[in-house]
Amino acid sequence: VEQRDVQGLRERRPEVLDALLDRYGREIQAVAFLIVRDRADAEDIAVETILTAWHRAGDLRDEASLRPWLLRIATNKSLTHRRRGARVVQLRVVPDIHLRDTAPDSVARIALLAGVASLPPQMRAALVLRYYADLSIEEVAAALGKSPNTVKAQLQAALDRMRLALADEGADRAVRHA
Amino acid sequence: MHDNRLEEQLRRALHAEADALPFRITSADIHSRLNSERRLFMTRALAGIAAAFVIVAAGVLVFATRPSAPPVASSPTPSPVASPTLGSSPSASPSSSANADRPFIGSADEAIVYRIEGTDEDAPQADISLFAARPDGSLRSLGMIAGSTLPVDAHVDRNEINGGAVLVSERGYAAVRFGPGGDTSEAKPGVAVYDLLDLARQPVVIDGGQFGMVWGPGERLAVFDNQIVIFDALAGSRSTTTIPRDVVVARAWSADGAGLVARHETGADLLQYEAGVLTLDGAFNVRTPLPALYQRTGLERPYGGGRRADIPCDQSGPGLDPKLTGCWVVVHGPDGSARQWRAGRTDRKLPGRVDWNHDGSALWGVVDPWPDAPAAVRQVEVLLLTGVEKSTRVATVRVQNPNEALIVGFAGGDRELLVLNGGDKGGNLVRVETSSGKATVVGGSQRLDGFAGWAAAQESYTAR
Repeated sequence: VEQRDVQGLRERRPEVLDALLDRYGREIQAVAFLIVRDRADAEDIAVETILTAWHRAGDLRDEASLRPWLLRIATNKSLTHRRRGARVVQLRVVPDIHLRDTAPDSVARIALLAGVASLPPQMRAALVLRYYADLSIEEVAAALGKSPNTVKAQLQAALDRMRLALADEGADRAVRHA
Repeated sequence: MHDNRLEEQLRRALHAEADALPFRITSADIHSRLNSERRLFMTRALAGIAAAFVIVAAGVLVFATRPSAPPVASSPTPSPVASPTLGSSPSASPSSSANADRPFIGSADEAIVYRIEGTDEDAPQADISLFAARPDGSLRSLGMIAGSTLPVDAHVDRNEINGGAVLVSERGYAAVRFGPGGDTSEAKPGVAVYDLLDLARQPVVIDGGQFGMVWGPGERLAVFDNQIVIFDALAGSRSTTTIPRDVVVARAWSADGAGLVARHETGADLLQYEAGVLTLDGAFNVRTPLPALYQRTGLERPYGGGRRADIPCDQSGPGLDPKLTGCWVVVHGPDGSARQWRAGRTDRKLPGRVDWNHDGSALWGVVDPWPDAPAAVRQVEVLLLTGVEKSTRVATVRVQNPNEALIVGFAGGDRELLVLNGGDKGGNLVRVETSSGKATVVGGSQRLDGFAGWAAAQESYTAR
């Protein structure tokens, strides 16, 4: 399937845009969102990523690497994206399903996500590509234009900060329950 | 790095966060952006050719007439035409003589439709023809907006992502959104407001609008940019509303005119928020449930009976059968449940979006029943999805490109809906009578570009 998509990209067949959106759109949007933390921006980046792939299909050397290549484009766009001045969304974004959950697992999840949001963008991107997109260290390094050792060090530092975020949350809860 | 428990916890947290994110990008969005890019490319190319021609012509002229003249200072491009000031003077109000007794411009069953004139989509200052479309499909002219009244280099914005290019208020004010046409254009994004009862009058021009516009009660127009400009067409006045930090705002007025529907994000987790209304003084007020909404077209009804509909298109997404292709509808209940509503058969493709019906019991959508059909027989089916595996075919509509066919409006009680049949060669509109399935092409063979609102009626929708 990937080879067919790559072939379609190189031949500029319009239907390949639909195929890329179907197969990779949601994941691209998710990666962008986890990095930029804004729904509208993430949607923009996802559209831009697919169109960039359309225009630069010749840059893709390895046909088997379409997915990491797309995620690399999305990551680069996320890291360089200029935040929208206005925060205008479609109506369906507003009264979304409302879940308030204070179960321990949820509390830990919220603490972790707050920790992720507080990371520097490059470190956050490395974390998202590794633990959300499940890319290998080498693929993350290629996406960010860094050496594998640098990425390993960034991930180590990020995990240390996650541990701190969880520990802080645990301490806060202990105080609240005292 | 070998803390497997932490890594697993992190994976779960990231997936929970990302999977809660609705996926709303459609094929139409991608193709629309690609077409915009192509138009931009053509504009640049033509500008480049024109500049090169000017240089060559100037060179030839200099050479022919002044062979002994000193070298001409190089000036590779002609000076751009100075852009006009987009801000309007107070006297430009289209409504100084207007009042609450201002008549409607048509009857309740007439749909206001428009055509952007000219065959060259890249041409700036295009004229726009407006019509009232009767139920039998015939057109009554409401007049023509002269493109020369738009700023120099202004291109009517055809990007559907931010809503239509032309929206008409309940009492006949037409707002036209425009933007720059290419790198050589000096025009800024803006909105021009015309009085359809007096088209000879100069428009009021409002800066901004890159994120769309929407008419509200009392002939007030909200223009979205880095802030929101509220233009009162009856009074001819305008004010500015600042969007507070941590608030996102939708292009939807509350029916009581208090303000615009908004969401206040209260925590690091996106699931922590309050829904309500951003009032015109910039205050966010929690409103539970959300108030009824004012709608000129009846479009955009994302919630029904507490449920939300999503159209995942990724085969690995939640609720999808991996054997199926295309996009499918997943309905999320207020209890967190998710059920897949299929469009009847498994080989149909559901492009675009779905909208709830007026009482929130079912969903409207257009479905491509034959994705590989030859161009001459392409069509979409208008479906009413009433539940899991249940759907009713209401009508069949011939289209150029099923991926660009959209429902763009609903009449009261869903008695009628409008389908925009977009395409590379221009589009048209089809009125569909929902009780009988009768589909009437608006204006016969005439090309039309969009639906701007009902002539004498407003629709309301309760978003819950």
